[in-house]
Amino acid sequence: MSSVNAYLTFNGNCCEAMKFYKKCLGGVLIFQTIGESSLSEKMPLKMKKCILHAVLKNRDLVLMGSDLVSAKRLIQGNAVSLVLNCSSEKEIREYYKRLSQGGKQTHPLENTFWNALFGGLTDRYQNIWLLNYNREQTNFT
Amino acid sequence: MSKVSIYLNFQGNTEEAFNFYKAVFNSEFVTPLMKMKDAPPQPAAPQLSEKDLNSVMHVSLPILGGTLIMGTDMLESMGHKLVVGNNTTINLDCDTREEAHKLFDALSAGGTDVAPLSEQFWGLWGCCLDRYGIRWMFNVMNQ
Repeated sequence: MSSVNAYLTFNGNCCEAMKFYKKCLGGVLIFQTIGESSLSEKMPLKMKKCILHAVLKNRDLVLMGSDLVSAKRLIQGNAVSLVLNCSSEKEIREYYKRLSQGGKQTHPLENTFWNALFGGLTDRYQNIWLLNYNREQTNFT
Repeated sequence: MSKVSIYLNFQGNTEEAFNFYKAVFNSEFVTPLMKMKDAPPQPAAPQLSEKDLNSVMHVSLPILGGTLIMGTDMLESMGHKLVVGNNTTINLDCDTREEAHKLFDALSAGGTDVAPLSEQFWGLWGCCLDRYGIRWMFNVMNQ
């Protein structure tokens, strides 16, 4: 079945960042460096250790990343955030704590009018996460 | 089960953008689009202008495989300013080349930073920044 996932772009620290997300969220992480790929001969030597493609996969999530950034350089935007819809209060508190380490807790977890525990953060790699736990087990829709 | 969704911010044109995505993905909003004025009164809520009250507070739309994209309007009156970056892209892993071409044509119309669909060593690939400031990537893996 066709599917959707978020693709994150980094500037040489994709490997470090994806390992951080694995530590935060769990799952299996697979990397392919530029040096290992058929693009290798066209790339400068210093790019060979950079990540062409990384995939972190667990039961609930697929997150992809790369160090291949456009010639315009990396621009950290705020138009796209990742939402983690959590299944327990314990889980949301744990994810919030782990993902915000070294980052910024822009909106600490609080109770909301849609009967959820909700919070937002910008992680240490400047990616934005929104965490939601619906107390009435309806989905955050 | 826990799940992941993708949240999109716009500067006042969320409704237009989501009507566009609704047509592109031939999908329907999960619940009726919610405006700022529809939110229950909050004791500490700031006074909003008529224009801000008609902005979108929350909307969600299932796209491929049931993954939800959600959206909201950033309010300049609250000091929120949209920055279109290139750090986060929405990847559409399509089952067929036909589907990829259809979605690419629709999403890249009126967009910029377009890399047309082309053959790569892993399959068909392309990307674009759509007319509303959201980056999309298209992949069809070789069997």
